[in-house]
Amino acid sequence: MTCQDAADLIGPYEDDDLPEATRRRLETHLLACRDCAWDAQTLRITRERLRGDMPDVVASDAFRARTLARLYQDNPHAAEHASQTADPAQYQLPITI
Amino acid sequence: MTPDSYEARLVARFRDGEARALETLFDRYADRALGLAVRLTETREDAEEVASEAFVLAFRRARTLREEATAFGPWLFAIVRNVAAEKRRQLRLPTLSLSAPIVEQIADAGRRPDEEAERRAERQAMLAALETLPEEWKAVLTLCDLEDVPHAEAAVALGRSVAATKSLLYRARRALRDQLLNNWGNNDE
Repeated sequence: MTCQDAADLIGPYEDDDLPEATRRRLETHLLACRDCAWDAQTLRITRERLRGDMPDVVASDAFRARTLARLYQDNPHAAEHASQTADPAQYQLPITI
Repeated sequence: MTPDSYEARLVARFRDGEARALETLFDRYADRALGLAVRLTETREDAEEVASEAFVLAFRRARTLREEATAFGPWLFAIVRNVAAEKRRQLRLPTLSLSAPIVEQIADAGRRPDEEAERRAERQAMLAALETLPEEWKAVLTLCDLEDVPHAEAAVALGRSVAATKSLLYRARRALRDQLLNNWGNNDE
């Protein structure tokens, strides 16, 4: 494998998107070539740092309410329908238990 | 029905004035849009402002687009990134800023403030380097790496084949790495 071949494969390698045999050939090359190993390692770090280690975020009820209010203000055509559909009685079955 | 066609129908129903379509689209993306904004800004308050503004702009675009919409999420993520970049430019954020409430939050999270400051500085350097890249590279990195959208979904959003999207992603990552190294070298001189 040449360094150019390796350069073309490092992207899919870092995304775990290579067939097993190709992955092994690339890893053999990376063990023998410092330049390509540096290339792979720095690309891996770049990807990991960009993804970050932030925990999952949950939007608060206050954020949801505030943003929906803005959205209805900016989309009066939908807001008109919102006021029509806001009555929960329309979703109730006409029966009593 | 594929998720894309489901979203396209929701966008069409929103255009027709159906409030529930607006709320469904909002609910589908509220957490993810805010999560992306949190990663692109300094404070939760800024992130909420950015995400909220991005939703307004995304629905405006959905209302006025003539062609059939394919995927609402990728538009929204691109808009979140642009609004956050604009916010950072307006604020001219310093590399790090540790106000008292943030220090308390760090203590609560069990992290040492100097570790947190380093992490924030690194984050700022990453975002500054990202903003120097061409729009298409920023778009693919936002979708695939920042937002972890599957390659196939990103390909639809970018109007490319899956193979072309992966190729673009690998080039963009390399460019981001080179930009980071370049900035680091300049700061080191």
